[in-house]
Amino acid sequence: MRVLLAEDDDDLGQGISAGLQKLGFTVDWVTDGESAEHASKDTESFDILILDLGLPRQDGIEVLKNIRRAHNELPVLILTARDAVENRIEGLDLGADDYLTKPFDLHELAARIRAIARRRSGRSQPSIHYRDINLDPASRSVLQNGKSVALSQHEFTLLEHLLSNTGKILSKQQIESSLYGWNEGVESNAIEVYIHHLRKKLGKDLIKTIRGLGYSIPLEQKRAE
Amino acid sequence: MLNEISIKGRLLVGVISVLLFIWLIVIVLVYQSSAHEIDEIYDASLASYARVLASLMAHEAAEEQEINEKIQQAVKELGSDYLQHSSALSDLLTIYRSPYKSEDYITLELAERQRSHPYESKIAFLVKASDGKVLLRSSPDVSFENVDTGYHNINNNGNDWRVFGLWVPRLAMSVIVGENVKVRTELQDEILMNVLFPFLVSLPIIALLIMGAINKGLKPLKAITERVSKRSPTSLAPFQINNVPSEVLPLVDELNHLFQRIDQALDNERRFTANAAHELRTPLASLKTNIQVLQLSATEEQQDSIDKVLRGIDRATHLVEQLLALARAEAESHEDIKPQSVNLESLVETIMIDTGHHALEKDIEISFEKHTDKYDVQTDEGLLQMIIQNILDNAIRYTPVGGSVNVKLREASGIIELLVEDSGPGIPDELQEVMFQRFQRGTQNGVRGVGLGLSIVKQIAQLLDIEIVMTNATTKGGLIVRLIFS
Repeated sequence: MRVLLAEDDDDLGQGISAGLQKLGFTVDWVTDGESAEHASKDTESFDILILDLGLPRQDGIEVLKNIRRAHNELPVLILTARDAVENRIEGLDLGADDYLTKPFDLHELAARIRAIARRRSGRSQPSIHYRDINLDPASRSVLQNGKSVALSQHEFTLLEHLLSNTGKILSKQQIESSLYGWNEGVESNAIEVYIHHLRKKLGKDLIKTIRGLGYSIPLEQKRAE
Repeated sequence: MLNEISIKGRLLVGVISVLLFIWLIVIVLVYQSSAHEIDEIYDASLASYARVLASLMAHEAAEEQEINEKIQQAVKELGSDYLQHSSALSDLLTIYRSPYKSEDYITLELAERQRSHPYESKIAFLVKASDGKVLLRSSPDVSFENVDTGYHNINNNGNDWRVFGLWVPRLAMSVIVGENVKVRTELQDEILMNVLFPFLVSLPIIALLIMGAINKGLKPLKAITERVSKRSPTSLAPFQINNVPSEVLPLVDELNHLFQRIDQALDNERRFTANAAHELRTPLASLKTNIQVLQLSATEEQQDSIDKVLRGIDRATHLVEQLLALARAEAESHEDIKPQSVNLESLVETIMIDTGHHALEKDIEISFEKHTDKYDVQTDEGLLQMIIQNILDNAIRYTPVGGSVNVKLREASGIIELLVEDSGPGIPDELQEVMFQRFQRGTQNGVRGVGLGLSIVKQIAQLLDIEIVMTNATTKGGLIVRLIFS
């Protein structure tokens, strides 16, 4: 995967380049806004642009505006040292795909790049491993300790959603919108029923209820990188 | 009143003092000049009384003399022999033949008629012959015997009298007319009272009118005061110069200059904060990224040290963020806040879902309890988020592994309350006030915080007029933070 990095700070730019390369990306690094905009025109070469907002010669916001004005659909992830919420919102409104505030976690950056690229390419996710569970989105099958577990359509989607967001809390609304994107009628306690089924089939400790908020599958204790 | 330096009071006291002073002078002058005029008039009338009396006496005497002369003539014509025949006629003519003596003709009774006016008792007269013999006296208690010609003030029977003596050489007698001084003083007093009475009656009315005039005069000042007091304490917008009285204009000008300077200073601070954010975050990001690059190929042994460095970077990052948040909250003013309708329920939910993973990592049970979803408040969403975020962060930070953090939204009689209860160590009562100061941290050791969270919370809560109450939970021993939206 080829990444275009626009970052004016030498040390940080070098760090990101080196880190992403070690994590399997190809990185082209430019240090000012004009070069970033120029390089972005080569849409065939790059899968994503990592754009610092505080760039010399041309501000990151300007670069983003110009890219989108030119109907360039290159995915953009904004890096910002400005924390004003308006700045981030402006970035997202202008067509950025995601943002990260400095300082950030290198692995988080890599994960976000992969997620954006996946969303853009429409490629399906690789299978997810969590403890003794193996979920394959391609075949829509779930294995526990190697044995197949039969799940309904909604149960599978719900589990996939939760396993893709381990460690995070998912609100009922979030789950509902991911399950019923196609305007199905939602029964008020439908989610509870699916969670109940999943617990029965996969073990009651798998999904945590966060009272008043939603559900969560906690992070695995040691993340395998 | 003067101690309070009230302009109104000073003006009122000043104006009324001046007024009273002027009145006093006017009254003294009126009293003096009226006394003088009364003296003149009364003295003149006293003199004319004497002259009238003298001329009456002269007329009487001339008449008597004429009769006398005619009788002498008659006696001469009749002859003394004829008179010897009629002793009665002789006796009658003898009386008239003697030289003129007024006392023979004017009786005291004439003067002692019934009084027709109460002031009459205060007027008296006396006529005496050149030998000092009293010829006529208005009343027996009048003793003007030793009075010379001209005006005199004498004491008669314990009363002060003004007397005028007139020597009539043709009749060889003195006419003395006197008047009790009381007549004059009573008149003077009456004139004084006539002048004083309207003054005294009108004084309260005049005071009220002056007060009204002062109030009206001070209206622009009052209007300015109201405008000042209506301003939010953090507002730095300049005053409008129109309708400002010229006396206050320099003050308003100075205030506007001051506001401008403070505004500039705050603006600089805001710009500094924004720049500092950038300047501090980028090197931190560089540090973190490069350490993480190193970590990718580190040995097990190095891994441990790298973890410590990363934790240090995270702490520094947290400190920087809190400092910037505080600086921003302090630079923020009421003017900058544009209240909008914020649904507390969804805001709290969003914050909890965003920060919930910290709790899950520490195996802390978190929950959100609400009874309806009608928790709309008018406030600044971004700043309110900072408050709730900080309180929630603190709760999760200070609650030990396996504990709980419960967030509750409730409404009672129109007042919405957000409660964050944790099962942490709580804050001793005596420390609760101190906790809102910068860089104060709880008593619990081993928790990584920088002690800025609560001062940020306090700062913003003041800006947004949200009341914050901290109490220690009696059952679980943790802290309960209540945000009260009224």
